This record gives sequence, C-alpha cells and structure tokens, in this order.
Amino acid sequence: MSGFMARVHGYFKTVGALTLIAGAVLAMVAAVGEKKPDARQIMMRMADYLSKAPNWSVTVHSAYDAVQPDGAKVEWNDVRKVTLVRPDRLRVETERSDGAHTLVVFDGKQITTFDERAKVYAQAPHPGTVDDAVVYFVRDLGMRLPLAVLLLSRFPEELQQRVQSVNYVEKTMTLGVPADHIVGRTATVDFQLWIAEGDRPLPVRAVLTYRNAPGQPQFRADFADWNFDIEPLESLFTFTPPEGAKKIPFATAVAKVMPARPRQPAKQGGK
Amino acid sequence: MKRQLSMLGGVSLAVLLTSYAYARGGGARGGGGFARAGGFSRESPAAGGSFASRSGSMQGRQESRQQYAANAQSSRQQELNSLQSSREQAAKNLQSSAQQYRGGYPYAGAYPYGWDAAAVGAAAATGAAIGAAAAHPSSAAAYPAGPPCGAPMATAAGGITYFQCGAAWYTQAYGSAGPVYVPVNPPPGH
Repeated sequence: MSGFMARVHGYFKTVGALTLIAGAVLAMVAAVGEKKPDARQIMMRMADYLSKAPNWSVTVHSAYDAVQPDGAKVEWNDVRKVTLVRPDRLRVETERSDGAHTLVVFDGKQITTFDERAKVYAQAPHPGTVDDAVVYFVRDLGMRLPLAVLLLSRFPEELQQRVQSVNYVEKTMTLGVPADHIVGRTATVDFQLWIAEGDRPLPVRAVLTYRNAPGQPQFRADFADWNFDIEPLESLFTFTPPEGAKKIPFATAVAKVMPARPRQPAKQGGK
Repeated sequence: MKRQLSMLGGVSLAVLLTSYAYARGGGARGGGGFARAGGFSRESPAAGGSFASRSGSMQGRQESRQQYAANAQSSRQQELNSLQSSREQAAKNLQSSAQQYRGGYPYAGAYPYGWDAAAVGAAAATGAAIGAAAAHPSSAAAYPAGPPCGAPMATAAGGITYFQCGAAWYTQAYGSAGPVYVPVNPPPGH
C-alpha cells in the first residue's frame, strides 16, 4: 500500500512539475507571439508608400482646438479634398465648419489661394515641384496647409528627421479597417497615428497634441476615400478667377514690401 | 497530499495565467483673433496641423515661453544627444537638395521645428487684432479679418485698394487663414 502511494505521489509530483514547465513554455510562446510590432517600421512604411505614389486623392475630415482667453477649448473643423499629381500638380479644396469654401491650387508654375465667400484670391509665381511649392507656401508665404508634410516626396526623410520616439499601442478594428495604432513625439508635438494594416499602409487617423502650447490643443484628422487610381483633368489644377473676384497680395508680402510706418505720437504742446 | 496537489496545480495555473497576461500587456494603453461664430477665436497653434510647433498662442505667450523654456531646458540635452547622429545623417541626406530652397538650407535657424512650424498659428484674440498687429507687425495671423472700422474710406492707387480708418490706412491681403486687413503706409499724396 505504501509503495503504491509513493508511486502515486511521485506521479503527481511529475505531473505538477510538467504542468509548471508547460505553463512557462506556453507563456514564452505567448510572449513571442505577442511581441509588439515595430512602430517606427510601420510609420516609415506608410511614409514610403505615400511618398512613392505618383497620384492620389483623399478626403480629410479634420478638427482642431482653439483655446479661448478663458481657457475653454472650442473645436473648429473642416473637410478637405486633396488631389496630388506628382511632380507638380496640387489641389486642396476646403469646406470649413462655418460654410466657407477655400481653395489652394498649384499648377507647376504658380500657387493660388482663393476665398469664395470674400471673392478674393492671392497668387504667387513659384515654378517647380509640389515639394517646392508646399514649402514656399507654408514657410515663405506664411500660409496654413494642415498635414502639408504628407504631400512631400521626402515625407519619410521629414519623419526621420523630426520623430524622436515612436511606440506601438495596439491593433484596432474600430476604424473600419484593421489598423495599427502608434504614438510618437517630435521636439514639440506628440502625435498618434492609426495606419491601415496590409499592403496599403495608409493613414486612417491622426491626432497631434501641441504639448508646449497653452491648453495643449490638438489637431485631429480622419482620412477617407484614398484613391491612387486617379487621372484628373488638367483643368482641376488651373485657376480661373470667378467673375468679380479680386486679386490681393499675400499678407506676408505686404508686411515686407509696404509695412506701415510707426506713427509718431502727437507732440504735446506747451512747455 | 491532496492539498499539496491542489496547491501545485493552483500555482501552475497562476504562473501560466500571469505569464500570459504579462505577455499580452506592456503596451501603452488608455482612453483613448478673428471673431467668428459667437466671438470665439479660431486661432490656435493646432490649426496648422503641423508635426512641429514654434510657439503657443499670443494669449499667454509670455507664460508659455517661460514654461517652454523650462520644459525645453530638460529635453534639449536629451534631444541633442539622441538626435546628434540622426542630424549628421540627415545633413548628409539633405545636403544635395538644400540648394533648391530659397533662403538656403531648409532647417537653417528653424531646427528642430521644421519649415512648417506653427508660426502661422499665432493667435489674435477677438477685438485685440489691431493692437496685436501693431505689436507684431510680422505676424500675418494677427491682422483682423474684417474692416478695422465701421465704414472705411476706400482709395485706389497704383493698383492697390487702400482703406482709411481715421489716420490709419489698410489694404486687404491674404493671411494664413484667409483675407485680412493689413496696416500700410498711406497711398501717395495722402
């Protein structure tokens, strides 16, 4: 009897030990299986894909916070239809939340921006590529072009240059397509990107947080209707001023060329 | 012995579950000036949608500058260390293309903010636009979107339309977020 019990005891000890080992092995397998994807690789794959695509269009629903003097945040939003034909054609149509429509067009020779409500447009010659025009428009003319970096053929290099850290969050199915959620930081901006899985690694969503700005406002964008099979008419990139539209200069040009003289305060009379 | 066996099984199960949970976890998780509608400002450094930001809003800029300086101080060294090698690499990569930009090297003077830093997002609080424009004449974002006075007198000269408000003259121009009125010198003869 005691021999039998000893054998049973030994048997269960062995089973217990094996269970422990199996648990550890399973855990290791699970750990290997669940190894987080390389966030930087995912981000760069997206950037490579976009930068190498010769033509594309996309609709961007974007919003940003404006921190009011009392600290309250107000969200403003707009919808933009972007059409890009490399190397030198770009059209960005914007409908703002208040109904205003604006347009930015680059035809390889000049860049034009038009405000439909005010019926005014500004135009600047700048022969070259979309890359040149976008940098000129934003940096030299001081104009706003949200997510402009996505338009550049050197988008990957821009990211390499700016992104200090990037981490993988999770895979999500809540945005309509399976997507990888990553977070990263530049010197001044925290960003989150949701990038579609598969052979078309397109941005699905972006959230930028301006962490050094008062109230840490955010810019958010949802991308829809990506299309890489477009053959837009040339007329899409040609700006013909509507009747009655008035040409005005860019404000930066005015500030440089004809700045207001500082006015001398009127001299006080008397002694 | 039964107790020993059940303890052994329990421990094994706990190890298995804990290890599996640990393997799954570890990732970052969590929840994850120009008066328009009702007089609310639309201006924001976030409006530019840029991956870089040069400044905060005009309102509270002083405070944010101090805050930024404090933040930047600690991160600058780390940033310098971590980016030293990539900067050298980027400099090599971009050397060839640098000449095409007006003003020379695209990152000159702007690094680490980049060419699309939110200089265009400087704020102008409602009603303070003209004063802001005077204080920051280079900031297009600080100009008012509407006529600076009720009924400005329009004068055309040299192909430019000038608008007079008292002793001040303006012209309409395209600012970062749309048409604005920019203070200018009086037209010839005025």
